[in-house]
Amino acid sequence: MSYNIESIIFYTSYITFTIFIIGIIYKWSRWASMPIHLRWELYPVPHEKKAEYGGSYLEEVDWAKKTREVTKIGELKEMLEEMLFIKRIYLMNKRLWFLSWFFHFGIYLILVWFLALFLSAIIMSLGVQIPSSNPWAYFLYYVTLITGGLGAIMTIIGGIGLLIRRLSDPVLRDYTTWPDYLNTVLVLITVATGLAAWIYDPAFDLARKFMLSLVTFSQPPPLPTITTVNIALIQLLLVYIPFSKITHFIGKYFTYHKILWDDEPNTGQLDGRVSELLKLPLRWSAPHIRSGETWEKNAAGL
Amino acid sequence: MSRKEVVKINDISKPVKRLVQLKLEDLMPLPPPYDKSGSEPPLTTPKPEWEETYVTELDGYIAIDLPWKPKTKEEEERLIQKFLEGLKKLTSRESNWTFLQPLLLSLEYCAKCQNCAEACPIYIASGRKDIYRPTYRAEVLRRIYNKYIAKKPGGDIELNIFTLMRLAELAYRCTLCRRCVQVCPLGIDNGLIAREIRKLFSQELGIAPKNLHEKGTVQHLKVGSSTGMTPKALLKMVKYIEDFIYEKTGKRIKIPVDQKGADILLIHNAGEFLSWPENVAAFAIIFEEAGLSWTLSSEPLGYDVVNYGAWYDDVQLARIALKHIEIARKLEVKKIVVGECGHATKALVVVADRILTDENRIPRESALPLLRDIVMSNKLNLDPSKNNFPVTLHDPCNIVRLSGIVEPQREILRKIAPMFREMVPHGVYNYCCGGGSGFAIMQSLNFPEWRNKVASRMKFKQILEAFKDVLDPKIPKYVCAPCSNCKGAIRDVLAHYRATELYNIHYGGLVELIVNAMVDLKEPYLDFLKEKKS
Ligand code: SF4
Ligand code: SF4
Repeated sequence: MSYNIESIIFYTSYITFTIFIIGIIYKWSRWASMPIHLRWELYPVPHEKKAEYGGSYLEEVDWAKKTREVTKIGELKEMLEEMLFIKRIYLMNKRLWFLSWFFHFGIYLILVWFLALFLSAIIMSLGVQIPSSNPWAYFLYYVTLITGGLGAIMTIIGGIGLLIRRLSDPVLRDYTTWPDYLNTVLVLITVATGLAAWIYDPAFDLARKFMLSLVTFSQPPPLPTITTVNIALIQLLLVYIPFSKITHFIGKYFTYHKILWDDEPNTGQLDGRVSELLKLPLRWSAPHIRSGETWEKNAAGL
Repeated sequence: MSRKEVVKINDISKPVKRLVQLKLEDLMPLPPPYDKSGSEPPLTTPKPEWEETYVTELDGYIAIDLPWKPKTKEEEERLIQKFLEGLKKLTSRESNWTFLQPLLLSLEYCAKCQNCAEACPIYIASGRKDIYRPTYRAEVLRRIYNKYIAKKPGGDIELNIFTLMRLAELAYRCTLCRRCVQVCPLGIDNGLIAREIRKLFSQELGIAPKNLHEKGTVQHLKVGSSTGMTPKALLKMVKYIEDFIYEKTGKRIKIPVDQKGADILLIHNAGEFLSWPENVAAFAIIFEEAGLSWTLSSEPLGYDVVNYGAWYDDVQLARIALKHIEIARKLEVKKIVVGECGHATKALVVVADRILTDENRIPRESALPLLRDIVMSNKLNLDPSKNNFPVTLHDPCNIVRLSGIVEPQREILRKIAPMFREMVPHGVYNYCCGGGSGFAIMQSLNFPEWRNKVASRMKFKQILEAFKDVLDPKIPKYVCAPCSNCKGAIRDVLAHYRATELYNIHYGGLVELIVNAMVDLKEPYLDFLKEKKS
């Protein structure tokens, strides 16, 4: 393989993707390994039987003696509504919702596009031609076509709208810091170059071929400059994401599942973890606290 | 269209006497009959001598009634240094594992979309003042944290003495109702952030409103009750209540105190004994009539279930909760039932749950489900027509949104109050009474004015709207609030607007209404019904 620009971004694809995966795992485990916190749930909790009106098992006399029923379906439904439709913004602010939903849904479509490209490359490596009359090839060809174009357009409309909203409203402008802008701008530029590259590659043939080269570890096809720039930006984004607030999808998992919806009573299963924490020394220095003593000792006495 | 001036995040450090000045005409308008100008008392300004000692630099109101305003540059420096040390502890595993994950997630992921603002009763009622946005204090803390602790790039902020003083006061402009959290697409908890700031000031700098700390948790742990009531005074109170019951109902009830081995240890908010003895009496009447095995405790803390730590201090929270458990264990009861007190329910049943390990794991319940079961079992002979007046229900945030106890109180009301009507919105989407997070008991200086005018404004509006078809002063009306602190706040707001006097709007708990419906009572249990007749 000669050392042209294609081969460089070919190799960096693996590197950046690995950094991305490691970064995401790191971020996830950082939150997952935090100490257990005191209970701080917020109703409605969708896995409760009485979630419809926000009720909990605490509505029962002698709840501690009864078996607690939870419905994971309710939780799943709420999760999907929030992920796919951003329900909480929809209910409060329709204009913001429109922009935010376009932006996010566009990104989901782009993710589907990536997946479709990847699957296309897999079946191509097995000898199937795309486009061809093979039903899988047919399906993936159209999925790629629709999700790629529509996804990019929706993301750009939503993203520009969100940026304009932030820049034109004095309150939002005041709250927004430059890393906040950078996130949106980086995503927008990446998608915009993708859109430009699409002009040279209307059926995503090149994209598919590049993916095939990645999957089969073989010589990448020659690419137009704009496509190269686009791929380079995607790689930049991959490296950037784990260190940015774009990982809010991880944060959201924890705020909901591990805090707001975590109403599991301690029936002994948490004793071990909590006892460990109660042995930690407290460093607070107000007069009513015995600084340096453990939580346990502090809680037990004055 | 007039363009409203924005108070920016960085304005918090501005060296001016007052960041904002509230004006009556800016506040959220009230519905009729309070929609005309002059129908509510004006706003006052802080006394000049207060400005010397207390922090009036935010909005002129003083929540922290300690003379903590620094006088010299050195004092200022010391406070700032201490604050930063506290912030380090607040964001460390060792000293703040209790809320570390929720706090750091909320600091890290806010998208600053402002979706939460419209859900906040304080922000709306103030006429949408920027400093009361759920995100304002949170963003200030976030920037200080990013700049000084996490060393992350982003928005800048100047941490001077004005920032510090205003941030401390701002932590007491949020009732911790957590209505904002319900609408946040990312689950960011601005209520929690307010509480964490309070914690930092309390646990590191020893700064907290006197009614919460010195006369609150400290007195509670020392004397036995945050009201100052001693065990001896409690026993006298119990006698008084037995006589009260006899007088009201003709029944001679012996209230069980310190009965070892009873099924239920009932603990009230001790404020009930002093301000609303009819609530304590009603519980005794119902429990006796239902034939329950129950007892009160006369041990210090055993007769006061409040836990002000829930509002500002984790260490005090744990100390008080453990005391309650210890008393229940000594009495060998099967469970603790918390009377009509919202924050105590949340603190003891929910928040303290995980630190109650092994033999400390005694079941703890709100009284509402038990009352529902009693009423529904028809053990009491009730005649709903005795409650033939409009009743609306206030949902205490701590019982409803934060503990998921929503229907029991409604089932009872639907059965015993034929003219029951809901407020809009209600249930888990209710608005706070304005007394949440300690505001109901913070009675010093000019803070009650802020509570009545701003914090309770939304609730007062809801009450008026719930009764809009029956405002006629000839018709008595009842706001049922099954929580001592909510009752305190509603009492004050009704008095502030003279709503009882002018429109015959009363308030009280749930058990009083149940007892009022008892068939064998000759006279109404509720006093305002009696006055009407005579
Ligand atoms: S707290 Fe939530 S709703 Fe409020 S600005 Fe932040 S992300 Fe938006
Ligand atoms: S917790 Fe309640 S009072 Fe505090 S900011 Fe949120 S909505 Fe407003």
